[in-house]
Amino acid sequence: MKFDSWAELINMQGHGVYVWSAYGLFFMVFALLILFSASHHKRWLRQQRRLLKRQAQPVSTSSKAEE
Amino acid sequence: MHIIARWWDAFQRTVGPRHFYEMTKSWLPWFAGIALVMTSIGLTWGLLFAPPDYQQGNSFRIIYIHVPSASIAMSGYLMLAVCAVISLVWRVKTAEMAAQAAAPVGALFCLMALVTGGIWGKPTWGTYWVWDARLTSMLILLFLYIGVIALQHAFDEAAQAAKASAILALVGVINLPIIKYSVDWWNTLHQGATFKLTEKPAMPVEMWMPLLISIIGLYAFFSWAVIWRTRHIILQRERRSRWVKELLRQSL
Repeated sequence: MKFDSWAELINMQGHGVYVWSAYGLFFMVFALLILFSASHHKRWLRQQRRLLKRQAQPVSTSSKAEE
Repeated sequence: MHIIARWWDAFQRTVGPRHFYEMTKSWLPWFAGIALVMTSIGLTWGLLFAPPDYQQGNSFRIIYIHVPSASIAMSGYLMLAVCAVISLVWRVKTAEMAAQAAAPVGALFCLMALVTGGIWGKPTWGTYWVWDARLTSMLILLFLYIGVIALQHAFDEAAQAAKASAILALVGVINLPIIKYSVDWWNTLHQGATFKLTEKPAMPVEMWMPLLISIIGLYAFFSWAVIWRTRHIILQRERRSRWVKELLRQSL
């Protein structure tokens, strides 16, 4: 390793604040992308399944209700 | 005529959303695995083990996320343009959906290229931002991405949205060579390309090897995210078709 101690790794001879904030932002943005995409997908799946279940139950007035 | 019609049918089926959905299911873990392993190795190597730059010191370690981001932002836009041609000329719906899936991910990489570049610029140039050719053309790329995304959502009818956004994506391609060659054509603060096909990199191997590994890892991540999102969009847009209903019912 190029750094002798944790303190040196964090400080990076004064450049630590730039390096770590760049990496921190980078990982935060893509973690959020994954989280939002996954939760949106799950919510949509749940909604569709509910619709399908409702359609599967016999409805007396109309049987060809799409969605 | 008969043969052509049959061939066309087969072609449409192969590139159709359903075939794409089924085909890519087994791809996802591979892309995710490569992304995870390569990005971890590349970035850890770059952050902890690569030697500091003799002029820039440790701030240069931002290169390991900055260069992959910029490269993916440009490739992602090129992908939008290729999808645009395929969807305009051959009416392949999967290409529309892939463009819709890729645009926000490409835009985020473009934003990250700008942000990490700004943070790197402060200790290196003394400023977060200058209006020079490389930075300005990259900002225009971000605006093009935002324009494409806006058009993808501006119409109620999916076909119309796809057409409008495809045309903007195609027009914007002119910006890509401008970004690429801006550092050669104009005087700029921005340094030249790290990797060139015709020359050996100016950096020592223990600096460029982690960069190469990070680039591969983050390209794998981009591919994974785009394929994953395309599959989600396929399900959404094909929700009325029998195969999607069947699929949803099976996993009830």
